[in-house]
Amino acid sequence: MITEFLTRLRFLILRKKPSEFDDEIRFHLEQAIAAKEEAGLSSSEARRQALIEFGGIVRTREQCDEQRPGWWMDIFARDVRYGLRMLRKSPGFTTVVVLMLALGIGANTAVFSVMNAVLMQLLPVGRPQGLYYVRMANGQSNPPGASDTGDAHTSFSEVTFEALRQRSEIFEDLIAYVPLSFNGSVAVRHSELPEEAAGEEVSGNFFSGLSARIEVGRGFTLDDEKSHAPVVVLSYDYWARSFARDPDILGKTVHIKGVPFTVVGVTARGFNGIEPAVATDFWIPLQKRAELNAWGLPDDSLYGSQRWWSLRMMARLRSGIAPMRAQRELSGTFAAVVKQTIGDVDPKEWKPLLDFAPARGIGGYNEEYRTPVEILMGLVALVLLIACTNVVMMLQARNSVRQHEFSLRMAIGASHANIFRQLLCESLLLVGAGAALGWLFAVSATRMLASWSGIETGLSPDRTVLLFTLVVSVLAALVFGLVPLWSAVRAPVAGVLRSTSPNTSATRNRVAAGRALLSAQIAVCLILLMAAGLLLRTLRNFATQNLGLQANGLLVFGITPQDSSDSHLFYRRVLDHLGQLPGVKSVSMAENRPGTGWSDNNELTLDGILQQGALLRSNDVGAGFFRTMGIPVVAGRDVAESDVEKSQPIALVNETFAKRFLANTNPLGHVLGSGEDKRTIVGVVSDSKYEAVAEKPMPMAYYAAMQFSSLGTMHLEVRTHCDAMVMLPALRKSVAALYPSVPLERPMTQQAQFEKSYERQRMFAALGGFFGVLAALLVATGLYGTYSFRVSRRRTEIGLRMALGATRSQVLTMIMRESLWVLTLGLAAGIPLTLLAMRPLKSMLYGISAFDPASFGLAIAALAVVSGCAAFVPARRAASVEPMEALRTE
Amino acid sequence: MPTPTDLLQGTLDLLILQTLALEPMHGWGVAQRIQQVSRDVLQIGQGSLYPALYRLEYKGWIRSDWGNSENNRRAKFYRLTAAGRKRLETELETWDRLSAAIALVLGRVAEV
Repeated sequence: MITEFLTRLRFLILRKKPSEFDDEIRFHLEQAIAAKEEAGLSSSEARRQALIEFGGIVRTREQCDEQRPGWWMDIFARDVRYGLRMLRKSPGFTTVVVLMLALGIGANTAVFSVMNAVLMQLLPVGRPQGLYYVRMANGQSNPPGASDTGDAHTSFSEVTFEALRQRSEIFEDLIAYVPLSFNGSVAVRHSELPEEAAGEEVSGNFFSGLSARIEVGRGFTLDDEKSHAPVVVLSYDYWARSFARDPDILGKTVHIKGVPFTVVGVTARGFNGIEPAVATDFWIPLQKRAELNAWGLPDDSLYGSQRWWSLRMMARLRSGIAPMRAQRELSGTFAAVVKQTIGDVDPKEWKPLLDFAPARGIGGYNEEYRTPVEILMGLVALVLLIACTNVVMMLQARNSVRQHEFSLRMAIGASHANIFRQLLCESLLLVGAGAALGWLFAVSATRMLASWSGIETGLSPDRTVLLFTLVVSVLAALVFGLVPLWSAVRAPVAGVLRSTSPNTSATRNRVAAGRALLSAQIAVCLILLMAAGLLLRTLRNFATQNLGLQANGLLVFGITPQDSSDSHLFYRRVLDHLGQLPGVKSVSMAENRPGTGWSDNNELTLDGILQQGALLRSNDVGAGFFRTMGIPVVAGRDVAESDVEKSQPIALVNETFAKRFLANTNPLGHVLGSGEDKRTIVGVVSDSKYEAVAEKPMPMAYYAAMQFSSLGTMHLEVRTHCDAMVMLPALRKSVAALYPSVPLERPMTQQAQFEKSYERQRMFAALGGFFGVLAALLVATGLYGTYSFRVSRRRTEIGLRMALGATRSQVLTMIMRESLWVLTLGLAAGIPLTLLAMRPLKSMLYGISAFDPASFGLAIAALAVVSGCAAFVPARRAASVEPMEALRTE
Repeated sequence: MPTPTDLLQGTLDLLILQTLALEPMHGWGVAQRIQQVSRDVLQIGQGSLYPALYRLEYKGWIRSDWGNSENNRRAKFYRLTAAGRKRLETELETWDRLSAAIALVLGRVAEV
């Protein structure tokens, strides 16, 4: 067996000398001749008969060659060599085709990897299919009467969690988790300097329930949760980033918001938590201490008020339990716990139904990612379509020049299969190069997309993405191989060979098909340009939106009081200190930093009457907030230093509030809130943006932060005389002088913070714009290439026309007329298509209609310019043909 | 007219191996021997003989060496390898089984 195998291997690599075959055959023939001579034939007749009997020597030799195990590799290598030679002969063509394919394939790969992360990727844990995010069904919020932090439809109270987790016939595991602060990160110190890290407190079954692998040490137990143990598990990435993969990490102490924790484990690589899109650095068991409260809130702990809804949950349903069944079976328990903690709830207003969203990608959790990504995928697919059409047209053009070559090869015996194999090989080479380049392009583009979209997890191109790219490439290669074959084998061999000009195959049909392709490209390009135009104008609308405040020269950063010292004193000292720095005009603070998407929302009670269905937005702010922010106070006064815990509670409202609820009276003096929570309105301010740039004006109130019993993280707003960022080092030093272990959290200008609020739209607008321009460029190249090619083929005809008296301008018109036709046809098809395609784009636009006529006009004009320019250059060349020269070449 | 080689396509390898089992031989010799032994019924066309020889050699069942022929000409001699001998045995067994089966079907069972 082994020798047999070795022999085969030897022949796979080595080949016999050709002379061996010759010698062997010569011997054979000699013997045959000798035998025939013996039988009495003359030597020449013997020779003749022997040769006839033997048959085709060349064919026999080929057949012998074909027996070789490595024969097909030779053929393949030959095809590749030949293909490379052909491509090297036209470097311009090769470069353009490879670049086009690289752009098309690369853009698709990059966007697909985002789509993969957003819509498809499963969590990197054991049996990820059984995991579900738990949320309120039908988009409901928490039951009326509950107060919540986080997202209203994903927050649950601790008591609810405890009640639900008892239902072990439904849940294999029910996991609770909640971030330690709004922005996710908190101050962590394990060496000299404090740093920021993203942390969550989680139930004891977090790691075991998820089946998340632990690299070093252990995960949590139920005991850890019940005893609120001071232990922490680090993520692999955090361990690598901040602890240099310290092998002796277990048992080390880490101070989280000043509280000492012992490291007990490190997760396996790739696990970044279950929070969608963001990476979590560490986990601690659910805590009871006020400073480690859920969301970093200063008030109660999780175990305090039973009306406080703040925990997020993830479920592993028992196998065989469908989400709908779980919803049905749990509604009783859910209703009971709500009744027990909040009281009776009108079933018309709120139903105790839970929804289980598969933990697949970010999309299962957060719909806002889905549409944009799908739209983007559509846009890049169109770009690829244009790129492919271009390549097909270029190949077509090139191959019709090569008609001669094909016909010649077929005439001397090449089969269709031979030619097909060779064309396929050429197109595989092109696509292979394009795909390889595209992959490189995609890897860097994906990194860019990741930083723009704020998706920290799962964006690296994985196996699914690679498969996608390969499928796209192979499809492209097949099409490019087949299309030229179609024309190659259909050409009449004799006709092509006889003719000296390459005109023979330019049939009427062919020209029409070419025009149709060009028109289709124009139609597709119109869609892309329109989308690009709308997205870019949306972007401009965001940028020029009036914020209602002076964002320039305003710096904002968060700080959190550490240890359990008096938070009033903490903020008073910091504010006083910073206010005296040279270069600082004024300093104030806010509980929710404007532009982050966070806000407080509560029921509205005005003058003791609960306003049904009205929601009041609010923010807790420091003294002089409106002066610092540059928000005009329309009536009454700003928040003052004297508004402290012991003084009368005050509130300010915005103009929208005044107009909606207190239109006919003087708003000052009215009272917000109920019970002990009453606040008198002392001022009216003009509207300003709170959560995001894109929000509509809402009724809103501002409360004096210092009138609350304790303060958690606050965001300091610093109005500076000069460039705000220049002040940052001085501010940092100043805070450190007071409180050395308090870091400045996410310092940036207020302007930048607002820009972040439309970051995603900005990314999609930028990408949409990029793809639009890319498409226009591709179409321009395609048009230019095709027109040039046509003109060069019609040289003789043009020469003849001019010899017969046609003027240069007539020739120019003739060529331009064709381009006009193509453009008209393309627009005729493209305009209705565009109208249809813009519908899904609606959700991504801001301050502009999806059918904005100006954008439409602009897109059409741009296309006209592109198509005109692409035709004009070749047309001018055609018009400058010297008749005699053109005719002589025939 | 059915050509002999067509009929023998599957069994050509077997015939060659059997012939070479007796003694090393050159291509011409193999063709002649098969023709003689079969009393001129089996005429191996060169067009199929040489590809078959090459195939068998590539598979490692026979090997070739250059030597001198009976009339002192340089000729390529093929000989069976150990693997080839084993192969011949299994081929013969298959052949016996097959021909017996065919004979049965055709109702021409020889007196055993």
